[in-house]
Amino acid sequence: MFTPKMDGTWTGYVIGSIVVGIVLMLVLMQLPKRARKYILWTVTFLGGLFYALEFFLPTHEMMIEGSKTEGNFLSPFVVPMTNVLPALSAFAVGLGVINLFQMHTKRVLKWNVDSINSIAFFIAMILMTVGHIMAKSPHPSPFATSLYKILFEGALQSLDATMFSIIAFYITSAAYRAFRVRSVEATLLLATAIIVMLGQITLGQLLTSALPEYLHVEVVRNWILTKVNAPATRAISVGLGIGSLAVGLRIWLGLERGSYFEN
Amino acid sequence: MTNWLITNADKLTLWVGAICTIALYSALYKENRFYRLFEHIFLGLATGFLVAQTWTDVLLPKWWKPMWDEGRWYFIFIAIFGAFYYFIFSQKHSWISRIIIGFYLGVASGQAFQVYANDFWPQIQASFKPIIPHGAVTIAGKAVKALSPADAVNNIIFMVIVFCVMMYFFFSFEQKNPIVKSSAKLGRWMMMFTFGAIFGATIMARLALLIDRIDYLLNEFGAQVFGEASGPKIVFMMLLVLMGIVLYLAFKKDNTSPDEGT
Amino acid sequence: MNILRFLQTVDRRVIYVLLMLSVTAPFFLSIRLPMRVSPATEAFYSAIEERQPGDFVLLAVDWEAGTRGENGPQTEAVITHLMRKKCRFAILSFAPQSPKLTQDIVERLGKEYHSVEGVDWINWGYKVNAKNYLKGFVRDIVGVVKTNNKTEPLTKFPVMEGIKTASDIKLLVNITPSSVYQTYLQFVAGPLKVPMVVAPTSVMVPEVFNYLDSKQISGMMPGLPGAGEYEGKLGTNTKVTRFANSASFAHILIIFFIIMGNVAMLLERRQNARLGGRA
Repeated sequence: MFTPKMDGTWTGYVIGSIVVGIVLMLVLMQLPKRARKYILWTVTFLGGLFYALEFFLPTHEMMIEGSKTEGNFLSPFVVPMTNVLPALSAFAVGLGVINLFQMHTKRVLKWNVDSINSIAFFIAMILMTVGHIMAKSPHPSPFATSLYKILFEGALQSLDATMFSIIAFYITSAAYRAFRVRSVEATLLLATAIIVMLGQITLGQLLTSALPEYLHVEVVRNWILTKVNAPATRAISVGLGIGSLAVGLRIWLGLERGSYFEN
Repeated sequence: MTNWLITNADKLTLWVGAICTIALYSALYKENRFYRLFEHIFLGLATGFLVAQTWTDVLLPKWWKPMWDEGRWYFIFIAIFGAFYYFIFSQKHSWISRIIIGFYLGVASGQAFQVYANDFWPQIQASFKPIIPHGAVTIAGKAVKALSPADAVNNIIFMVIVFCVMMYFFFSFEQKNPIVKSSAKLGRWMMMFTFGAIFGATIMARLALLIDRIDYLLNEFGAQVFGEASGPKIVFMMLLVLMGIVLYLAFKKDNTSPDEGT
Repeated sequence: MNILRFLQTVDRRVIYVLLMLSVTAPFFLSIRLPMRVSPATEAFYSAIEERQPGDFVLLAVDWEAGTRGENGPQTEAVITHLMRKKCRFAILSFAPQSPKLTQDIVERLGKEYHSVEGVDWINWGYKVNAKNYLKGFVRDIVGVVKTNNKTEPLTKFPVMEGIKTASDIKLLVNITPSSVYQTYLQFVAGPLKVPMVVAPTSVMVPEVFNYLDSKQISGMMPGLPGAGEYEGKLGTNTKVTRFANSASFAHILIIFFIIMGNVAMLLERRQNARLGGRA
């Protein structure tokens, strides 16, 4: 049954599957509340079981997709899962789009000064979607390529880059206003920040070039980053790693309390 | 119209880029409608791009083509289970969306073991460093580099800092013991070095983005629209005029607001 | 208002204008100060320099226009080096804009180094769900990637010859503003011992030093300064060298403002203490 169908039966199988899917949704919609927790727990557990077992089970030499590799009985299914899971998660892109549509449609219908912005949002979105699909078609027209160039290189790239670059102004103003040495910790922070900043610019490196090498600001900066910052980051990172493993286990085994498993 | 667009696409791209840049920078003076309009245009373009790219690069090759061109009818189930996400919009049946979200949570949890083994475990191993200086040796056929006294001291500093920072985050018992307390305090001080480094690095990151934008205005837009030689200078003069206007408007008696926002 | 209070509360728009001037004016300076190459960048350079012609490199780019200022020059420097070394490379991305942004750079440099799409390089396009994707990718590259970014089957391209699994990748280069490099480490570089180098944005540099110390990555190109150092090693002279002057002056301005604010605060405290007032 689960073989590709290139003949007229394809349509029948697809329609049949859609019917099965609709029946499944109707059944789920009718389920009592107390059954929901068990379904969520089972689906979560099965989702994790495959990858956990595939990682832990002993491996032996085997042929997978024509290549000799190490694996266990679950390993041949990894590639098909890889082909399916990203496509499944891609369907979630519609969630954000629907949310934006709802919000901006409400604003347009209200018809006030801000409605122009929402109309601009819709026009930009439709133009970009259509332009991208046309430009990526096998034989794009010169008009499609030009329109896409103006929208992507001219507008989107510039807007994206500018939006991030505005932070430079805010960070400067905030650092000037808020960065005050009121404690030992703040002094350490400021001193390190200044050394790191001077060490990463050519003028800063020039300032200390006459000193012995171990006092060059870029050498001191490198020492701070590799011998002080790295171990501190390591400790934080390892703590985070252990914590995330613990939380992952709790979710996988359905031990987590809260709105996910509860109603 | 279409021929004009095709002929002038390069110049239009540059002009659109410059206008978009100045429009967003106008927010630095004060929040205004011009900025809001371009912010919404940005949102629309980014959304449209994401949707179109997700179709052309993910759904088309991974779902549609296998299902339609290769006859894999069972791929329709991907769309059916993908539709589960949209139950989130129903108040009564939103729990059905948690099935598919839960599945991915489970997948991520299952992969957490491999994540731990390949990301964090090697870090723990690497935290144990040699502290006794020695020359180059071969142990069990493996060459071991020499360790100088300076490197040995650095390694001791490294391990002390890892220990102290971990001690700071240890909440399983109350930190009453003086050794524990002082280690935790030292750990906190060492973290200040990290935060200072992060601050210094962040300044560079943000400035780099600003410098890139200015380079676009001067050397891409300016040079190509107004000429290589004088274009950057013309754009620089325009920016000076804009800056002068900003300062004038900022210091007009009724506009002075030194602490408004950051 | 006394001078010390004024020095602590300069109008933000004055700061913005001064910052803009400090960034813009140096573009007209023709001084080129040398930049010392850091050990991390040196290691990154060596990782590519040790490659042989024909070696297959995975160029994992995950940046968008928002971080073009740092990741763009890094990408350009890496691609220049790979083309000079005549390495084959494939572009893979988990960020939507990356494939197009990188392709533009590769096509421009390809004309200079006679590097041909499909023969010397290929663009695998945008993918989603990095962890799940890479889990299968390492076992069967052609079966998982399937097509290039123009939906043409991979099997028709000479650049893919002999590339079946991730073990055939000789070097993984990740240019990223996000933590996707950790996913590559967890699913590709770590399990298969593929050498990996990372070119992060400056803001991530402190955290990536951790991985450099544990030797999980072989080298790092730290942000825009790293790109400038790399260009110095390559002997190229692009806009990154111009950026160094602006970066220097802007940094000095910011340090000046921070110190000015703190000195004014400390002097005001002392003044208030002398007057018996509130600090």
